[in-house]
Amino acid sequence: MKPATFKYVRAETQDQAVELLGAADGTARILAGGQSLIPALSARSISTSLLLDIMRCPGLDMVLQSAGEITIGASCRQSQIERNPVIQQSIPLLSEALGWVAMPQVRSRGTVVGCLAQANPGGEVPVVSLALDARFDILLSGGVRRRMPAEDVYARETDTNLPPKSLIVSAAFRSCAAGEGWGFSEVQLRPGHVALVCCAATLAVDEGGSIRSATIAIGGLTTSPYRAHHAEKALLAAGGDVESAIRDAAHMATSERPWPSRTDLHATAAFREKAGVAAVARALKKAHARCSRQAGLKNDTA
Amino acid sequence: MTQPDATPHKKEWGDPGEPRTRLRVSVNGKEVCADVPDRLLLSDFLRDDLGLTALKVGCGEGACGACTILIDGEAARSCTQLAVQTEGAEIVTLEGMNAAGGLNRVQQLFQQHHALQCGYCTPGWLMTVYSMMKRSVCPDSEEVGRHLSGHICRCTGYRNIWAAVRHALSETDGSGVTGEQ
Amino acid sequence: MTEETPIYARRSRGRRYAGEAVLRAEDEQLLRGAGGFLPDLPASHAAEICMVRSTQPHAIVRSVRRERALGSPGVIAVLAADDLEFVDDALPCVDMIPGTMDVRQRVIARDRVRYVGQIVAIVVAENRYLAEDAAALVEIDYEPLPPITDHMAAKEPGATLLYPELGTNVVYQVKQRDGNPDFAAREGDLVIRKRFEFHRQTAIPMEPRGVIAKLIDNGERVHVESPTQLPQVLRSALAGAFGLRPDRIRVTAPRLGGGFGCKEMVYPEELLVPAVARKLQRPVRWLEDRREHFAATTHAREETIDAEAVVAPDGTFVGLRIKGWANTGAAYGFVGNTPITAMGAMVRGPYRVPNLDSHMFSVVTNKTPLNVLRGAGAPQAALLMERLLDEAARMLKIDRAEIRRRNLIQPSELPLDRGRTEFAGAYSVLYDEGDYPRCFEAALKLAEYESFEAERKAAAERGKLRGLGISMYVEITAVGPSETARIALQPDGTVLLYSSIMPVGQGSETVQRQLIAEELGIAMEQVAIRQGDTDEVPDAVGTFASRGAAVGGAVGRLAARELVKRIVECCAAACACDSAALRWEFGGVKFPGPADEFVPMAEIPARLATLRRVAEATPEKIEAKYRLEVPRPSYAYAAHVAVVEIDPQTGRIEIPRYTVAHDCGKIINPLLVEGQIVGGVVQGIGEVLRERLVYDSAGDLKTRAMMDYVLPGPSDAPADFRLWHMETPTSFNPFGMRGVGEGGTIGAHGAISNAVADALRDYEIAVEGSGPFTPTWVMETLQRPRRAGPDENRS
Repeated sequence: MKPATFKYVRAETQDQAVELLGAADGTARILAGGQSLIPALSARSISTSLLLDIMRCPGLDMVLQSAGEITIGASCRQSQIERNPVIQQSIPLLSEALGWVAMPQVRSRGTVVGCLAQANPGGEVPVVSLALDARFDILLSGGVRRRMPAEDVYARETDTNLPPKSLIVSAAFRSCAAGEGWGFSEVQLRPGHVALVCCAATLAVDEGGSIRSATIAIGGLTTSPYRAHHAEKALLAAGGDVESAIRDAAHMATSERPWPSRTDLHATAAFREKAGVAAVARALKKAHARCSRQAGLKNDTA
Repeated sequence: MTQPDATPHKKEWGDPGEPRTRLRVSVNGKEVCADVPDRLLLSDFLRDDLGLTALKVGCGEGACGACTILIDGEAARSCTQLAVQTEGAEIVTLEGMNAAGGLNRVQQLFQQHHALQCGYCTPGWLMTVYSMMKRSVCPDSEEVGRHLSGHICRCTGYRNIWAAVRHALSETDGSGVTGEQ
Repeated sequence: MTEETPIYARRSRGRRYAGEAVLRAEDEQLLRGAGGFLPDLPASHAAEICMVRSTQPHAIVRSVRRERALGSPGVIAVLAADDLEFVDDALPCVDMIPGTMDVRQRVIARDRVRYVGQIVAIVVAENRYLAEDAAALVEIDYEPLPPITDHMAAKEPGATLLYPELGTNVVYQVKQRDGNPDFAAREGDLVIRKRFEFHRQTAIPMEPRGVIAKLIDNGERVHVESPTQLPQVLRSALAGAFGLRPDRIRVTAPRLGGGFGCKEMVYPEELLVPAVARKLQRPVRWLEDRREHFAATTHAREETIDAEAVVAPDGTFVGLRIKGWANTGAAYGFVGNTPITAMGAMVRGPYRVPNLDSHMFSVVTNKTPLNVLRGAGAPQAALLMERLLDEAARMLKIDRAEIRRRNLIQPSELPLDRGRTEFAGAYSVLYDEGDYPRCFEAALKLAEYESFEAERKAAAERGKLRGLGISMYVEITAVGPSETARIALQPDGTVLLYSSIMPVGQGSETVQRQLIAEELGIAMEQVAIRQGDTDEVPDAVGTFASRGAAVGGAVGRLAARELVKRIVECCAAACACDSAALRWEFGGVKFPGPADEFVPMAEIPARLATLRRVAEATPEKIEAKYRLEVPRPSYAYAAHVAVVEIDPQTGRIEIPRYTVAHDCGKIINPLLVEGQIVGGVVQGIGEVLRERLVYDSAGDLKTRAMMDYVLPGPSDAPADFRLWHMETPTSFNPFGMRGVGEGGTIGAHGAISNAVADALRDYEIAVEGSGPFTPTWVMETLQRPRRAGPDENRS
């Protein structure tokens, strides 16, 4: 389990990274934390001609707070972001979900943006990026910049729609709005193992207690994560009985999956579908409990 | 800045065509400088090139925790990093936490609680305990379980490890560990 | 007998060591990271080997082309079967009873491969990176044959044959009979028929395998280093393989980073790596990586068993009839048939069941060879018996504890002969002394069995399903046929034991030192121990079957007694008097004289040198040896009670409470005993909740990584673990000891299986056996139709 030969370059700048990537063959890759990439290279399940290490590039280690969103740079480590007070305050959904990624000893080296690029099935960070309408800032060779909504990036059954030979410079997540609740739920065999299925949800209610906004994102059920738009609309249309609205939304969210559900060594598709319903319901309940409290309304679905 | 001395573990790389990169890294408080094959895993660099064989390779995929060390003060896997990725970092291995002779306090507690049997995975656990002590993790918190879940032990059944770790964390006041950087 | 023994660690005091929770001296090196495991041994002088392994489960090997590999940087050699000479290329198997077909594995595939992972070629290079580069360039021309992985299909006439010359895939069979094997049900008896499926597992010690080999003594001898439970067996195997006298070979085994039975084996690599060293005339090393390990290291436990139990209306079992098939893989492991024999030998456990008819078979398939794994067939046996007991209780509406009481063998019936057996080292299954009912009741009480129904109800109110499961077993331990130990009083006054037991994590070094120190009346710090070097310990049986303390410790202690005799003799000779004039007292010799002088042991070598009055007399070594014959194994027993809680929404199974009451005879170190039990239980938990090796229909092994084969983690340790000891000395062991290393795993399979079935008692279990009881398994069970009443099966 030793990697085959490749060239390693410490990129000085983002632009240099992308230029070198553009000039190399199709196997060249960006290297950030390496927590997925290095084991795959060791197992020789992938090979590469060139690894471009971006961790020293200026401008990639920022956490920027601007109106309504938080931007996280490509070299920010998962553990740093998990503990960052700005993140905990403004995008607590991400901070919570990061606690489920692998284990702390992996998060100390892995990057948030690396999770987004790697898009492992069941990956928690891509799921949160969908729930929070994230936007990726992408750099291509020639200095070309592009913005891609997370939903476009993951809109295919396997792999991503990220352009080849591109570098995600940063990802911007929508901040938690006043009164908005959030919830994350994951089903796994045991702590430290992968997500069999997970759900990130946000919810806001009006003064009457009816749901006025909702986002539901599901990971692990299918190879790529997805937003459950029909279930979200159904929540908005629901009346006062939030508890049964959540139950129905949970079923709808899993059945509206755009691709077939997954069977692997750890669980069958049928299991993931059933557990997915439970995970969505739990995430929505947590979100509802949080927004009810914030809005000062009575909590009736905790 | 020192080039690492040849150790009795270091392997040959006769091929001049193997891509290499210069690496400067602090290991257990000493600056090390070497031209290292790009694909050389950090676990192999530490064990073979530097002779620091306390960390063990149990799986090669980052799942078992036996290769855990501290990088910039945080517990991290050495088998899922290339040596060259650690440019400018501060690495601490178990050798850097050992007292001059005998056992430091955490090690004593592991012995007293019988928190090891074959001992192969033990160096990894100790590094995670040191990183938790650095953060003053509360012994009763859920965080303990999350850190420990990054390790596998096939022998002990974990009960005694939990006891030793909680004991160590309950004593932490920053001075519990000798040899710390 | 001791009652609840509080377990705590403290420094040893005084000279009474047996029974003390002595801390392990070996921990110091281990905790400092200086354990001296095989991968830690200096090897910069050694070339590195990468094995080229079959990617085909079943194929003819037409050719092995090496040209491209030879051109790869840093390559020293690329070897295949033609390049290596073996006088005997078959790996040893010691449990081939008469009538067994010879499917011992050959060291390297010649013209046929029979499992994914089988070695076809060997690359030698400067380091492992370069060796793997070259291995990828070795071109093997396979002509695929139909793979067969299902043992139930493989046993049928007309199935693809792995060894066409044998005419069958059924290669081993063993019967175990007792009482009237042709027993039949009488009017009113209950007949229960169940098929049990036991899934394939593997040990996964944290330390993978490895071998270092070099020529020593001017090339006259071969030195092989390997973390094996059997250094002496390996030496014999090497001697046979190369046609050398055994003294031309030295095997040294470093301490093992876990074994669990998968290192109770002579592996192809352990013969191939030395063969390469001899051929190339240079040192070589092979380190197994984890990916390789899954296919290259022996598997365990896969069996299908049909069981029929006849039960009288009062719940007493009249008889048990079982017929089963083990999936033995492509060839035998060193003791691959032992777990199959163990099924019939041990299935009845502590229950009387006077009539037994057991017939077990081993079937070859295109999978990695099968060998022992902690418990060696006993986990499956106990699970089967215990599920039948619970089923009988349910059908007859008898309380589960009560039905077991009615079947338990009483102390007055012991020792009890349970019949002739082919189980290695045990002419018959002869249970020694014990008190099964007392152990059983202690477990129930400690587990709060009586109040469990209230727990179940309270959990149901929280939307959870709680269940309780019992498993009681009797375990064959401390097997023979014999063991040797050599002991010396060194010139510097310390005592050195040359032991036959390898440390695999069980603390064997500490236990043996405790016994020696107590026997001699000296401080433990004065006792040193060495093992694993066949130059120092040429004859030993080895480390397995929970014999380290009971047999290894016993023979060490007896060797110490011999040493005392030798010391007294030497002292008598040195002061030219009769041995009878000298007295051994606790820790030293009393010399006769105007004032009786007591010379402590540590000073005796120097005193002897003085007494001899030879010029420049130097202190000498005094040695003694002992060979302990072990005609009968002793039998440990325990009762396990597991409480599980199932979340029907996520399928997650948790184990809030686990109770063990056990008897391993005289306890030498309670700290270590408890560690073995807890460790064994958690390994068992992992095996029945999640661990499973998966082959696809094409014969490819799909579980290749720790993320695939999910071991138990810290959160799986039962939060409330209760342990109770009783110590019934056994007359089958010189010091009343029984083994304890495997029992935790043996009881866990049945206890958890019964607890899960109890939690899901409203649902019919689709397939009985060891699961694994994954969330998917739970969900599928909960979707089955609710169960009808228990009245269908009466005869």
